[in-house]
Amino acid sequence: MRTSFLYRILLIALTVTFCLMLSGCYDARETDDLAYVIAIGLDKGKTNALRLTLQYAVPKNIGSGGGGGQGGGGGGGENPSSITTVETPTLWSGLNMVNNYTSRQVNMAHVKALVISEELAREGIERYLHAVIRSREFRPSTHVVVSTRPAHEYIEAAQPILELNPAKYYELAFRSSDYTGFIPRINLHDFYFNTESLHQQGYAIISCVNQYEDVNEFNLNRSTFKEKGHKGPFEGDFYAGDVTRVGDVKAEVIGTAVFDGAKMVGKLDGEETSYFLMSAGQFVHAYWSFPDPRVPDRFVILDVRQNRKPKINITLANDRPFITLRLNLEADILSIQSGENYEAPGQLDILEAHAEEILKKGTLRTLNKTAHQYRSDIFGFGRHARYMFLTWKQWEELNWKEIFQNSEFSVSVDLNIRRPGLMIRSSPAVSSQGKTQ
Amino acid sequence: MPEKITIGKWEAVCLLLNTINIQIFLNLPRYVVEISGTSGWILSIYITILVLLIFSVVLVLFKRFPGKDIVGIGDTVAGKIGRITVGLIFTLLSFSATAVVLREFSENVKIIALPNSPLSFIMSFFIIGIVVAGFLGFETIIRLNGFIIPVIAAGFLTIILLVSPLIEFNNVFPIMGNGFMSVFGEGFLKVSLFIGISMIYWFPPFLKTFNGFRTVSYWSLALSGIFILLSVFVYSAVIEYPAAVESIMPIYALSRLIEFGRFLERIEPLFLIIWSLSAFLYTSACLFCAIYGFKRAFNLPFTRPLVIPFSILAFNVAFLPEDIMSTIEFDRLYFRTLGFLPVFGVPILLLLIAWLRKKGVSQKQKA
Repeated sequence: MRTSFLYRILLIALTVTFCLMLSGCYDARETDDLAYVIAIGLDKGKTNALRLTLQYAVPKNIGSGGGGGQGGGGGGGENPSSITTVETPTLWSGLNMVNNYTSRQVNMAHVKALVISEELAREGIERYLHAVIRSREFRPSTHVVVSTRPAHEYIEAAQPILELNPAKYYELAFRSSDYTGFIPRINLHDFYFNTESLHQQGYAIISCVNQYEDVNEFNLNRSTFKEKGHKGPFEGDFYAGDVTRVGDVKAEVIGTAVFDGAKMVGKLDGEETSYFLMSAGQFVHAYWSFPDPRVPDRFVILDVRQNRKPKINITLANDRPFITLRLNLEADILSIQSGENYEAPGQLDILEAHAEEILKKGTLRTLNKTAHQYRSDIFGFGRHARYMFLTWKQWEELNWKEIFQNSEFSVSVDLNIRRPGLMIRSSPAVSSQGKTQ
Repeated sequence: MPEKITIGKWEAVCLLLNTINIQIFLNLPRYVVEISGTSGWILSIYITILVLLIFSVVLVLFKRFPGKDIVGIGDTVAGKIGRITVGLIFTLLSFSATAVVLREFSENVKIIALPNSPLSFIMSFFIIGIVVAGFLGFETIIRLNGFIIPVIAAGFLTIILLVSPLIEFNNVFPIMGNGFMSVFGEGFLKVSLFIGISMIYWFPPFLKTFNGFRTVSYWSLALSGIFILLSVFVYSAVIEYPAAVESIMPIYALSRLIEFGRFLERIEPLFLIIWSLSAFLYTSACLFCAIYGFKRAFNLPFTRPLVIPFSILAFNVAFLPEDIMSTIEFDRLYFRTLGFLPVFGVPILLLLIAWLRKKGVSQKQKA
């Protein structure tokens, strides 16, 4: 009886002790004690090795609605986020410096974007990458972005208009890969492993601040349409910063930064990024303008989808890879500007063959550019060559990343137009002078 | 363990599953990938088959001495010296395994969840669990395993299922990884990954019949092999080699990758819960076995007076390694590589002595 009573007392005492210890242990941190960083910018420093920019959320303004502009160093106003920049020898020492003047402790658990300036990326980012990967606070899902202008400029320009929550802005903006195909989907985890992999190189989203303030400033000097032989610029013939547009949000993303190891070696524009995504089997869908096969100055716009992974076959002859790529695509008709009745039996084949030819040429051009100019297998073709080897040593000795530059490609595209939208037949407009073309 | 206790096969299998597979939550997938590269999953199958074969030899010993535990067999075969030697070997094995796992788990908790808490503070929670379990006794420990292990297994399988969209089958090629020798040569020593099965050596008196003992052994080993295979395969198919050798906690690394849309992510707290439960059950059972082994070796009447001294000792021994790297190295070198020597070597040695000294019930005598 006495033992049982003592036993119960002991149990209650233990439980109470646990409750007290667990609720106030060393690691107890209230959410309103922390400053949640949502974007990190890395630039080359002027007075030190690194210029570190942090954009952190200002929770009290997220609920009440924010305004444009930037908050400066200490946060405030109605801005849902605040930006601060320090020059520091390393990333973590920079965080130490920021912690010194912010009231709340900086926390990385909600970082959505790691923005690296192109200048720094071309020098190599391995040392910063390790610092991020090793930390438990950084999420593997953080997006990796290369800014062609200084990273702090991009972050300052990334002021959401449609979103109150700046973290949601980054999440949604980088998801546009799924419906434009102009940027790759890449997170920290994949980026890091690609830099270490033997079969694939790294890539990142390209971002910048748009150069235009007014529509009258628009020009095509930096559009890539000429080098690709297009008669005029298509929607994807730009790098970030050069898109002919104006608007409240100055930040924009379009294109892919190509890496060799941890160094950036080149970039792909929006259209090339779509071809890259298709070849890597990551393309979801996008609206795509094709010149009309019969009326050259008009366009046929298709909603192109990739429902099946591409078929990739690799053979090696004298350390020279021969890569055969077969793309299987589907499309719906969105618009036929000319009014040609391509929906009619037998006519659809003309449109499909025309689109296939354009896609094939574009894919080949992108493959050759990355392999021969950048020497970088961002597609992960090497993954498909691993079957050919029995042991890791043999595979290592092949040195795929080096021999990829000798690759020869053969591409075939199979595009099937499945649906015509709400119209089953196209007819030209009729004016007082008859049917127009 | 009072001799009157009878344990069910289900509870016994659950307890053994945890003692063998606890390493999955620590670093087993990484360790296997370190040895054999992309062929880690082949190594997993190979060592499972090997350990089933080796254990069928061990079973001959227990068949010869029905209803006797390993110390009892040592006593019958080699007298007092046999009893004390065998008892101390398995006491030391269980005790050091407790200390190593205690340190590794506490360090890992510090890394991923409680970075500012002192190690002793974190470890004290495990020690309190061990002490309470020690006082409540073997029956409580094993019954608790019976209903918590299925929850842990379900949690583990949930992580595997959620991470399965990230599986890239090409990552397990080249199929022979670091070579035939790394799998089938060096890999032989890795039967030590199953040393947790040694806990079953205390079970014969509680498992009514030899058939029950055999069933529990085979089921535990086979299921553990499946769990090891699953963890190694998924880990190496998701996180490609050689990056796969970098992660300190492979399954935790996998759980961090789970992401479905914008809403389902950050599910690693699930991992943390099942992982802590598993660690509590493991350390409790393991230290209890050390205490029980000590009691059996010296024919002591009770285990309770030993609970607190052994727990304090384990707490202190766990602090001996300077850092987590040396703890992992110790674990790798002594438990994962040479662990098979006492676990499978001692019973086989006892079998040889019994055969030479004609002790126990042979097949012929049975007939």
